[in-house]
Parts: sequence; structure tokens; C-alpha cells
Amino acid sequence: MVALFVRLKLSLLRNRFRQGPAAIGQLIGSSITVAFLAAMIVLVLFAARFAGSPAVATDVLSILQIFQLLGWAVSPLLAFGVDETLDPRRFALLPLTHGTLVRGLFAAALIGVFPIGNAIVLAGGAVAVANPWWTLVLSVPAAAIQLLMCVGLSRAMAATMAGLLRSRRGRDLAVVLGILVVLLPQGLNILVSGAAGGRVDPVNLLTGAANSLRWLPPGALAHVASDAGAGRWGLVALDLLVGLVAVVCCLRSGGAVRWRGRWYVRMPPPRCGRTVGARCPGWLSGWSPVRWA
Amino acid sequence: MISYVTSELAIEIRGLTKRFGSTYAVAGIDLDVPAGSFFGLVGPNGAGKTTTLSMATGLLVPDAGTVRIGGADMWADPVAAKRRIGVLPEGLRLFERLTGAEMLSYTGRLRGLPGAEVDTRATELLKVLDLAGAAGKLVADYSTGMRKKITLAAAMLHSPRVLLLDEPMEAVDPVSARVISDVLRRYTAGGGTVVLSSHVMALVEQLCDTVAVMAGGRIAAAGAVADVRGEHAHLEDAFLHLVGAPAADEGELAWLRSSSD
Repeated sequence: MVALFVRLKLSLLRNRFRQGPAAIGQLIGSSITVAFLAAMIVLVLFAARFAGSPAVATDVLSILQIFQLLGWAVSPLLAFGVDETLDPRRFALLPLTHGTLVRGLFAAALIGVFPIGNAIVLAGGAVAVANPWWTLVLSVPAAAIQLLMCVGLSRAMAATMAGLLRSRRGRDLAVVLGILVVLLPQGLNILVSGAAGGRVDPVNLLTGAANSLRWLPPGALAHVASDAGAGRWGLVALDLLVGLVAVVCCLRSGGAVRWRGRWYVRMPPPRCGRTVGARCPGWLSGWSPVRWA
Repeated sequence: MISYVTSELAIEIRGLTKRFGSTYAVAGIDLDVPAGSFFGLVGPNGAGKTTTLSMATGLLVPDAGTVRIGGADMWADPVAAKRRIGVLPEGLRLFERLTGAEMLSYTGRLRGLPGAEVDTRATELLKVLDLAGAAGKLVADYSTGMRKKITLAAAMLHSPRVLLLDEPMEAVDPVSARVISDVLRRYTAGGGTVVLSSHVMALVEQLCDTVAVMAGGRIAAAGAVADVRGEHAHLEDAFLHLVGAPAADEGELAWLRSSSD
């Protein structure tokens, strides 16, 4: 079944080439942009490793993975109209169990330009933090867990917001949130440089931030290689456990909101009375939860 | 409650209720759809037809009540219930970036049918529904009638016991409408049950053998078409009588008679 969802996603991607030059241009443009950004981030990680030290690379990767996770969390807001496999309600009429649907949509979400770009960045990160080199055996699986966590969180968010994003008001809200997300790094930059007044060493700042966020799942996963290199096996186990628990949590909520003991997806009521002047329930207040187990 | 002499029920609805805010869209209805019938659910706009069908097909959670499809409870055992039905929903949400043939292929396989069987049935359905020429076109480029037909094909692919169709002929040209009604007649002749909602009485009178009239979220009348029609000449007259059509007041719209130039 999971393979079927993957094939469906590949068909949807392939058919974009049939939708005219604009769609092809968009696909090529986004591929080039993603490849360029991924290469730049990998370069930064390698610079941190080879011009700095493996410890600096670990700190950079920690922060990077946290921002990566945040990005994936808000991605449904920006990409919902584009990716049809993100919407669980398109499968609502099919006799699929909750588990099948969650696994299938999860696998489909791993296919695409953005997931591949993220995989490249994470592979670069796994190389940058591996010291000695045999710790690659652990840093690569840690990177894979990070990618699963990102996709899982994105799916959980997509399912939670499916109803919201179908409504006009919801899409307006999404645009506002999208703008806030784009402005967030700039705001942080102003805040940090303002508070520091130019007197703080950026490396210290980075180390401080990375240390305080070390036990968030992305931070823990970034530390797997350095903990293994130093022989702290208890910490390695804990790092991986934190990551895996996060993935399981995302998968369990991945696509549904548990409510009154049943699985639901939020959905607006069917188009309300077409009679002129009929009282329409508000799109946001009148949501009806829909079960699609 | 309306009871029939038939032993088997395709759909059994009990106490089905849905409320939006303070308005009851469906106010605790009981409805039996006998197996093998061509069942029409009619009513004016806003009567609760779509809400009823949405709850019966597992798209909308009822506030109260049960829906059984061939004995399987739609909300207790949705997988079993959904295996038995094919649905043409209102507001078609399709995979726009699949071709018609791909859409059928994936729908059938996601329903767990063997691949070779899916392909044979899909080819046949596309031919019968006059879509063979458009099988390789993206659904996004389909006309309204073609979209209805491809969704109908997807709904029939697994040869379900019951087809639930929400306004199947709305915005469909006469040629496609004829094709759709022929396919539906053949399906019921083979023992299938069709439930369709519509507010076009002539269509319901022509196609259906059993009918339920909904008004204000309740069942106003139900039974064989002839029984519901009663002493009226047409089903439409019986319907207007049941629903209580307002008589036009002579004084209203008086200004329409005087031209302004």
C-alpha cells in the first residue's frame, strides 16, 4: 500500500511536465533554487568543520536542524494548494485504515524537490559532525531520523490545518502567518545584534544558543556523532531515543486529531444552504470534525 | 418510519441528526433504502439532502444516529461500510494532476483490487461512459460533465452494492446525462442499489422507483413513486404540495409591470 502512495506521488510530479511551460519552468526553477541553497548550507557546515572544529560544526548543525524543523512545521501553510497528496480528505471515501493512510501519506511526503534538498543538507551535516570518521555510522541514521521528524511534523500540521486551509479566511490567515515566518529571522537578527551591541563574539553566541537548545530533538540528533566520538554511549542512546520518540509522536498524531476517542480531521460543513439568504454557519466557528479512519 | 415488505435493506438510517449552530440541517431522520431499488432523495435547496448523504458516506460526523450499509455501521466500522459503497460527492475533490486513466487505476488499487482487474474494468468503464478519447488527458482539463462521469467511473470500479450520487445530473449536458442514466439503469438491473439526490422532479420520476421527500431537515414523505405522487398528475405537484410552495401575492413585485423608460 505504501508503495502505491509513492507511485501516486511520482505520477503527480511527472504530470506537472504536461501542464505547460509555466509549470515546467516552476519545477526547474524550484529545483535549481533548492539545489543552490542546499549546496550553500553544506558549504557553511563544511567551513564550520574544517575552518573551525567538529564542535563548532555540531553547534551549527543543532541550530540549523531546529530552524529546519520549524520550517517544515509551517510548510503546509505555504504549500497546501500545491501538493495534493498532503490532503487526507482526498482519500476520505476510500476504505483505508487510519494506519495505512498515515503511513502512505508520510511516504508520499518524502518524495519531492524539497525533501531531497533537505536530505542533501542533512547528509552534508552528518559528514561535517563525524569525528572520528567511523561516527558516520551513527550520524547518518541520526540525519535520517531528523528528516522523518520534519516530514512527520509537517504531515501532522497539514492534517490539523486541512479544514482551515480550505476556507478563504483560513488562507488569509495562512498568508499573514507566512509573512511573519519570513520576517522572523530578520526580527531575531535585529534583536540579537541590538542586545549584543556588537560586543558579543558570534561563536560564543552560537555555542550558547546551541547549548540551551541541546535537548530539543533536533539538537539531540546533531550531538549523536560527537557523543559517540567521546565514548559517551549513554548520551548517544539518549540522543537517539529523544529523536525516535519525537518521530513516533509525529506519526501517531500524523494526520489526525484525537478527539472523543476517535480519529478526526477538521473539515468545514458541506456547502451550506444554497437558498439565497439561508443562514450559513461561519467557516471557522462551524467546523465539524470528520472521522476518516 | 417507513417500512417495506422487502427482506433486505441496502441502507438503514436511524435517528440521524446534524446541527449547524442553532439550525438543524438534519433533524433525526429514519430512512430505509431497500436493496435493488433506484432511490430518489428529493427536496428544495437547503432541505438537508447533501448533509444526509455526507453523513451516510462517512464524510461528515453525525451529531446523533446511525447509518448501516448492508449491516455495516458507517461510524463503527467505516472500512467495511466504505467497501460497499461508491460515491459521487457534491463539490468534487479530484486529483487534478492525474489523467482520467491514472485516476481510475489508483482508485482501484487503493481499494485493494488486483491491478489487472482494475485495468480491465477501467478500460471498459471509460468506453461505456464515452471517456476513452480523454483517458490520457489530465482531469484538470475535463469539462463538468466529464468530471461527473470520471467520478462515477471511480465510484463504480469496485462494483459496490450501493451507489450514492449527489446531484449526478447537475450541470451535465443532455448527451452525458443520457449516458449516465443508461449506466445507472444497467447497474440497478444487475441488482445494484442507487440513491441519488436531486431537486429535478422530472428526472427522479423518470429514473427512480422509490422516493423520499425531504423538507426542513425531515422526511416529509417516502415510499414507491406512485404512492408519493398519490392523486397528483406529476411528482412535482405532490412535492410542491408536501413542501408547501408559497403562493405569489398579487401586490408583490408590482413595480415589475411598469417600465422605467
